[in-house]
Amino acid sequence: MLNPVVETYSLLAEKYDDELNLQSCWGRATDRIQSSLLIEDNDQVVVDAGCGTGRALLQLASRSRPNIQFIGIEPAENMRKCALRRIGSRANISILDGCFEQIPLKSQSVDCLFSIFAFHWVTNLRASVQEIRRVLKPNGHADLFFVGRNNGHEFIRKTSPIFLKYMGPARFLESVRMRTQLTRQETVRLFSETFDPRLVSADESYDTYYDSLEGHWGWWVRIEGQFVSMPPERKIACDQEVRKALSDLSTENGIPYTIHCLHLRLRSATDSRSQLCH
Amino acid sequence: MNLIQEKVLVVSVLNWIKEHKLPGNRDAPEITEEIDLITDGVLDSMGLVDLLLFVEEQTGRPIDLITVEPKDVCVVKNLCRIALGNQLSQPTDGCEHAEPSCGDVLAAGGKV
Repeated sequence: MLNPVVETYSLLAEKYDDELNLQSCWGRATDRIQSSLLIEDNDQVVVDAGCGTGRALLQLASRSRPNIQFIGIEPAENMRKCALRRIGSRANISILDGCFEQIPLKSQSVDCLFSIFAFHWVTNLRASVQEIRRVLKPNGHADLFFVGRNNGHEFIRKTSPIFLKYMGPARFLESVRMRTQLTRQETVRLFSETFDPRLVSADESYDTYYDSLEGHWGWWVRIEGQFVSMPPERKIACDQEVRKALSDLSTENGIPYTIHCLHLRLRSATDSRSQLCH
Repeated sequence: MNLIQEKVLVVSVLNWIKEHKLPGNRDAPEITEEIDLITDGVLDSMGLVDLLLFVEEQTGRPIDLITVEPKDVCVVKNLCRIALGNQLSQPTDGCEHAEPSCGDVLAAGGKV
């Protein structure tokens, strides 16, 4: 069965790197995470799971040793095409079709796995964690940044009644379930089922970004997959009502949107350092 | 229609909501079986998903979401009624006063 989120990301791939999306709260949050990522001295194989159009992968490769192999995993076909176009002829970067539930790599072959705002789209949490465990070397490490349970509460409160009205309860609740919404505690518990709990830790942050309506609308491409089940003739009217509702949130600083980001860290038993990404 | 069963479920659901309501919403109204949980900001969308799971656990039967309206799942009174397979009430004709109130159920051993 097709995954509507993946299919929609693929359909909208060419729009993904639009300036409005890159300059949006999500673009800025992504940039901040990207620049915080560090490669360890011993890392030879680095994986970006859910690499999208390959921005983070290329940026990280550009500031790392050339003998490190970088691999991007991405399920959306057209996103992979954009990523391949971006990396050009760089021999140490490859882009593969795959997802968290099925990482197309050999067991114990990865030194470092990272992911930026992708893990919340997994369809099978436990299978995904077990797959990460499978591909990581025994002394490997991982940093997953993803959306938490309380993300975007300002928008959700305003828009839920509208989506309920236009989608009906069944479709609306189905769309809500497309995105995993874990708390920090649930995240630690989930990964501790598969990994040694002593190697698992998670931080969370709440950052409120203010922007114009058009600024926020610029990142709507990231969540369109949740609304594909809405009949097209209702979509236009729904969008208009959503935009009106978001405008009502305006303050003198702009329209607020709070990103609840979870940062899951997996560290190897031999790693005495408590942190890789600062 | 088993009204006692329905009223017990209402009390149980209201208790669940009080435990799981969104924090920090100063404008949220008092939680009753009549308010709209989503429009009034008592639960968010994921909270509604969790609530439906809770109700299905309580009744041991799935809720058919295909044929219902938003108000049927966002208003506790309606939700409990459809969860038990009872018909939603028509505009009141005065007979509703004959139904046992939440207070009656509490007196009969329900918990808040």
